[in-house]
Amino acid sequence: MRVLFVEDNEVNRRVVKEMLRAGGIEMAEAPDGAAGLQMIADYDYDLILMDLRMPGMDGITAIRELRRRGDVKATLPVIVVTADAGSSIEADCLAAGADGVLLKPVSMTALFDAIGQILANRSGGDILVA
Amino acid sequence: MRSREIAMAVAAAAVLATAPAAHAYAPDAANVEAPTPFEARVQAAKSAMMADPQAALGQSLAALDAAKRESGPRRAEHIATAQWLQGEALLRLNRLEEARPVIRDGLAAVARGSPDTKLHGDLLMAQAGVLATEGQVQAALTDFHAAYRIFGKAGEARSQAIALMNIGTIYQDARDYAKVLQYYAQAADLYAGDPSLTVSARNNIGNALREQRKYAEAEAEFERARAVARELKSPLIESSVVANLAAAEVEHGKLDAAQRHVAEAERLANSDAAARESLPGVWGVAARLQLARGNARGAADLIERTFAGVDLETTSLIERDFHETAYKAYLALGQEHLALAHLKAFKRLDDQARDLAASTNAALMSARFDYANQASRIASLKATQLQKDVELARTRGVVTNVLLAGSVLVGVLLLGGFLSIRRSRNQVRDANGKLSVANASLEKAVQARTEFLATTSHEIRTPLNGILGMTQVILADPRLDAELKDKVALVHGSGETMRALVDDILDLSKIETGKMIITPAEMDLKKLCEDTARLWAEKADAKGVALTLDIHRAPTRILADAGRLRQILFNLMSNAIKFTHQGAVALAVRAEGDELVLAVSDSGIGIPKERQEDVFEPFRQVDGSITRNYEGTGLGLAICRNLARAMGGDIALESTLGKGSTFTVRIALRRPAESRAAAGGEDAPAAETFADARVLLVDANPLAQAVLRAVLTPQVRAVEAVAAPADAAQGRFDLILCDAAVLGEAPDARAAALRALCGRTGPAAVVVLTPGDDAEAALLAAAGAAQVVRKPIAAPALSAALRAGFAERLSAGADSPAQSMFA
Repeated sequence: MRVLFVEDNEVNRRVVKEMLRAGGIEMAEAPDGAAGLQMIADYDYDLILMDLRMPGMDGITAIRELRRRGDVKATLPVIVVTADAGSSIEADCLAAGADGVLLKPVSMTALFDAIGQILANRSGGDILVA
Repeated sequence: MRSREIAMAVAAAAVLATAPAAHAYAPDAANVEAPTPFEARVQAAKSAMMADPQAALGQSLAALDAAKRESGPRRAEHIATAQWLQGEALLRLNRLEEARPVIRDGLAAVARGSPDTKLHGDLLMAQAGVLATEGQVQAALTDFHAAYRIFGKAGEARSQAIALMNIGTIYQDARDYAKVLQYYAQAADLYAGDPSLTVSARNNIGNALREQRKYAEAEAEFERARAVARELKSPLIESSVVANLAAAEVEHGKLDAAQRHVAEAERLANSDAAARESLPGVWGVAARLQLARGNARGAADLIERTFAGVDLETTSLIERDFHETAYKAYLALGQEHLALAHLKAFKRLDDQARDLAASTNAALMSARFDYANQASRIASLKATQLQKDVELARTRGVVTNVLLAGSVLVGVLLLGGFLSIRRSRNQVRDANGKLSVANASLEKAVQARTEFLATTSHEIRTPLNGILGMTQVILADPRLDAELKDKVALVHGSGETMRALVDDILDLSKIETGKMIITPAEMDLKKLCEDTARLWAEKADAKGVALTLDIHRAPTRILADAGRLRQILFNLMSNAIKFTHQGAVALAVRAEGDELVLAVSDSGIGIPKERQEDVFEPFRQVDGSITRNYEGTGLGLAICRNLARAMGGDIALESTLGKGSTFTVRIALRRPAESRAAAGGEDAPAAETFADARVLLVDANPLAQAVLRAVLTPQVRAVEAVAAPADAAQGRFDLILCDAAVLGEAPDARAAALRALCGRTGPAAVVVLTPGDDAEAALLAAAGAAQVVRKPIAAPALSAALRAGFAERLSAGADSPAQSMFA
């Protein structure tokens, strides 16, 4: 399983990378929305983790751009990972096309649960337990 | 009983100022030839209003009848017009009780159908007139100001001027002549197109100036008023104005000029039948002149004509000064009996005037006080709140300068409130405006604080993610030795406390700004209680405090916001365990009729009676020393109370110092529609069906754990997950799903570990997931596995295997199934 984390904060990229490594997941990194979209176009991922506030293209815009793609990558699962606890953030993210929202500081359990939930949902319950 | 006309030295001119303007309501040119019955009645009512209010009342009632028979689009407006005229007529007849509801009905209709029109303003003016007559000066001023604004929007400068003059009249009652001047001058500047208004304004300005002993200015104003009165070709008004001019000159000591003007006023009064009405006033001024010249006899003769046929006990305030003149003249002549009669009348009127001024002033003062009081109270409330925020920020080491900027802002607001008390002596007119400005500033301050909190929260969460995330990664690393693990766990725990603080502050901010949303959904209450108790079990155990859970009278399925209910229980349990050092903490949940009762009791330090209400206020612990002894944000109970109230309930506290406390939350109990069907299983203490099973997952891989949890959660009652068999000792479960990797490397070692696990976890069925071969499967089955599942396996097949394992345990007639771990 390959995950791309679009996030401008280097420390947070490192933290999530270490967390995912504990679950045997490889993580690629992009520092902003535009770079993230470029990497999605160039490589294959199973899941996108997306920060919201980033210089250049922000997370919401990047999700909208991704969902506008004409190919199968437009349906990639996206989980927002944000420190923004505003009352309408979750609704805004879901409206933009995100599959889930995690609030920083993100716990390992919450991160993997969100991933597990999305994998289970996407497979229609027919997921392979390895 | 109040008399509006006392303010009007020139009664006729003053009446013109407040009377409805007949010409302003003239029908359109096209309608002139054939007025409708309604229009005809309205015109008749307006013409009769000043001279014969009784007739005007009759016409307005006829207009109301005509309007009610209409069916066109203007029916409602016509009815309101008729009600306005009816109200004005009743006001003039001093039938206030009847005027009030009529005007109110008209106002309500106009505010709905045609707001901000001239009719709307006229109705407000009528209402203000009733209020002013009743002595409700503050309310009258509000309505006059509102009417003034509406006339402005409707482009009715004349009506605006009338509104200002009415406000001036109220200040005249209060003998606040500086304000009288201000309002009348503003009225005169605003609208010069109606000579009758200009005369009234100039004349009243002259009187106000005379009261202030500014005689030269007063005389100039009377001269202007007189010039306009002459244009009006009204000898009555002109003679009254000239008499006022003469009175000013008498007081000014310009007796010759006064003499000339008295003669002129008398000539004007005699030039016209209607103007003769002003003669008693002219003679009164002439008497004052004679008295000033030392001619008591002449003065007495004149004043006798002024009061000819008048009952001295029923005179009005206009005649007060004439009584004074009469008293002095008769006293000088030795006619003490007459002097005494006039002195009594003078005193009666003087008292009346003083009472009027006093009560009007009192009403005005109370209006100012209310405003100043309200503004400073709001400011101080906000200041207190911000002060708390500043203290919190300091103690928690959060960036303080932005909040300090907030307190400076409140300081400015408080200063503003203080200054406004001083300034408001003469600034009632601006009161409403200032209040709205103050409110806007406060709103901005609150908004600034909300934004500050949101930004701070974001900026704290980002580095916290690094701290908590990396400590979690380190703690999950099996290579970590125990001593180091302890230290890292400490860092992690402190980080969690900080995160809880940020969450609490944000929650409180959301509650304050009304952004806290309660979303009820069907949920499992018993499971929530069990989860909460399990969460705190370890901490209670570590402190040697017993933890009991009583949910046998609690419903299972309810409609509630599970997340918020969890938050309430979490906070109450956290508090109970924090403040309890020996004894027990109990969570008891039960249904009581239509109520759900959640009670958390402890045998802790307790809360003194006088502080029991305080604990629900934000940032309060029982005292400063305790705040230092017990960590925590001091926000938990404030949030609990707000949440309980948001759920339509409340929280109560019973406590005895040194013995313990009980916090009881009562909220409305709502059951889901199908709760009757589910009710059968409610009291079953242990799982008899797979759907009611409690499952323990043992898997070191967090992703595998998460996927299994996602697959199983919808199928069973509860899923717990741990990374190692050692962590599983705490609970008793119906079913354990264990990854073979956690049992060891070699098949033999795995079988031994499984045997140990089964021994510890009691009667639960153990299902093992392994990539191994048939030989290993046989070994594991022999060691106690109910099912051995070869992976990789598709989720549906895994579920089937788990169901089979669960059924096998049931049919095997194992010992009594697992009870609630807290039972």
